[in-house]
Amino acid sequence: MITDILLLISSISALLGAIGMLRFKDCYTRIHAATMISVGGVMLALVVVAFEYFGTVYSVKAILIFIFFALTNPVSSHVIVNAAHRTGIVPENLKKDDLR
Amino acid sequence: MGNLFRQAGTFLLLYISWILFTYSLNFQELAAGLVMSLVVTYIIHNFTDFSIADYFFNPFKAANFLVYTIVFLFAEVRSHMSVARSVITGKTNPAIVKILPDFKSELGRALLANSITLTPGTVSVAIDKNLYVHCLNYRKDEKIDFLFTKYGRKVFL
Repeated sequence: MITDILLLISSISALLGAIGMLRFKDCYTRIHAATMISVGGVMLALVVVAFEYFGTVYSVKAILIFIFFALTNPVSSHVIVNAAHRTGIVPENLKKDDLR
Repeated sequence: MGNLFRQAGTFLLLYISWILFTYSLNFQELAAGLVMSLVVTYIIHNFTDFSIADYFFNPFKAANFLVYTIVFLFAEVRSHMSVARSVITGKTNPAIVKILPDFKSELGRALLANSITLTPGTVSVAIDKNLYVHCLNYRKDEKIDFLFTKYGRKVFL
């Protein structure tokens, strides 16, 4: 029951992230939507797998994938945004910019 | 001696994760894992200034890490709601904010930047001595990521 609700939440958040990728205007705001897909969509689905198959091989492997995902996913988003900043893409309508 | 203890921590972490990945107690798997863990521990012992032993064999730090995880979960849920709201309404209020973690260790700064990037709505753009964070919904009164630096200081300093 709880796992069903969590799976529903994860798919809704993946959908909202995909819509956000289309709706947001520039690279910097789109990466927020991408983070929403990978954390709310993928990692929550892995948690659901770990609970549903508790005590089996699948649960252990889902937890391991979860840990490696949590360690490596932010690195890739940071690298994308940092490359955008270094190549001189200017973020749109900033309210405040300390990096200038 | 303390150095040997830290390397033993790294070795143990590698070996346990090998066993969990293969998920069998076959003798051949265990022997191959032992050799590989020793080799990897020897290769990386010059490059790292930290070890897992500093964090998890210390009960005080481990307890703080648990508190940090719970705080992090709440921040994660809240920022998901915030980003979902701005996807639906289409209103964004972006800004690049400077925060000053003043952590001593490289590992602490890297993990703080990782935590900030892992919550949707905030992405760390650049790191020199400070940390520059692009956030989606910036409000003047809200101190961004105050929780992370406050609790992260207890764990990662």
